[in-house]
Amino acid sequence: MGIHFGGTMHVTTKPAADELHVVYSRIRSELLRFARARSGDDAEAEDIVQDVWLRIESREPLPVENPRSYLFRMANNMVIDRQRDRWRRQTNGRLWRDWTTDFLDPALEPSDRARDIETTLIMQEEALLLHRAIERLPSGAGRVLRLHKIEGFSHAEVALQLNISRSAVEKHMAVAMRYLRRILADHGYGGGGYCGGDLTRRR
Amino acid sequence: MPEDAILAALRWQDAIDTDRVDWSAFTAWLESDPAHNQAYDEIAQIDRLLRQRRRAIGAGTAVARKIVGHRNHRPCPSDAGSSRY
Repeated sequence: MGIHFGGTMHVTTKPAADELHVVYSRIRSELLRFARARSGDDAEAEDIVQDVWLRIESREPLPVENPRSYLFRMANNMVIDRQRDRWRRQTNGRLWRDWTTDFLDPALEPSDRARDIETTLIMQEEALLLHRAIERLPSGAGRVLRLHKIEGFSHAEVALQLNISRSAVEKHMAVAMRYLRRILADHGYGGGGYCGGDLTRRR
Repeated sequence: MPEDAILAALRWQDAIDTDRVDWSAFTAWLESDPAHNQAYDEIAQIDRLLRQRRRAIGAGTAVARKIVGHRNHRPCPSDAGSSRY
């Protein structure tokens, strides 16, 4: 499948552990410009590019197939995550730590464990919210969204499977994304009025 | 949000997903109009949330079935995107 998941590393047999650092140094100014365009803030962009460096410094030295793309993708994901963390803090007042972790670590201290349990509960609520929102989409938009975002097919692959044009895929996706955006904004993702508590209770 | 900005943002996201994106051209597009970054950010936020919750949406459907009696649950494929970046 042609999908690449948010910077997933493509392990090759090449011993090129330092390539990311070399590429980073070469494209740092481009990364900074990109982070500025995405975040709209010079200081935030500097922080992001610095965080990209810290992350590649601390990662396992595995070679990646496309270092340039890997670094841009990492910066892009950092912009997204920082923005979302801000929304969550603003709207919910809870502490959000590593909320990409899907499993609890049994070695954690009890306080960390409690926080992780809370995070896990929120993730379940988010999943349920998204699941319900997807179920309410118009059938065409729902089918396209599931194939593209849940099953991971590209626009071209979805078009082929459903025997529709790419332009039709894009239009269905636009409907789906607008709808999901409205639902998420209602729950505080994007500056809406999220009151905290049970995401699934509000409709 | 203008429809054409959303459609363009969706195409950029698809190009990123399939690793066919020209990052310099993407940067130039973002810079060319504030509405472009706004449209892309909306798409990207939802995309990332769906991606990160892909497996949990599967679990969520189980929760949903239990809580609200959903019957049409389809298991989701495992999420290769659970790594942070």
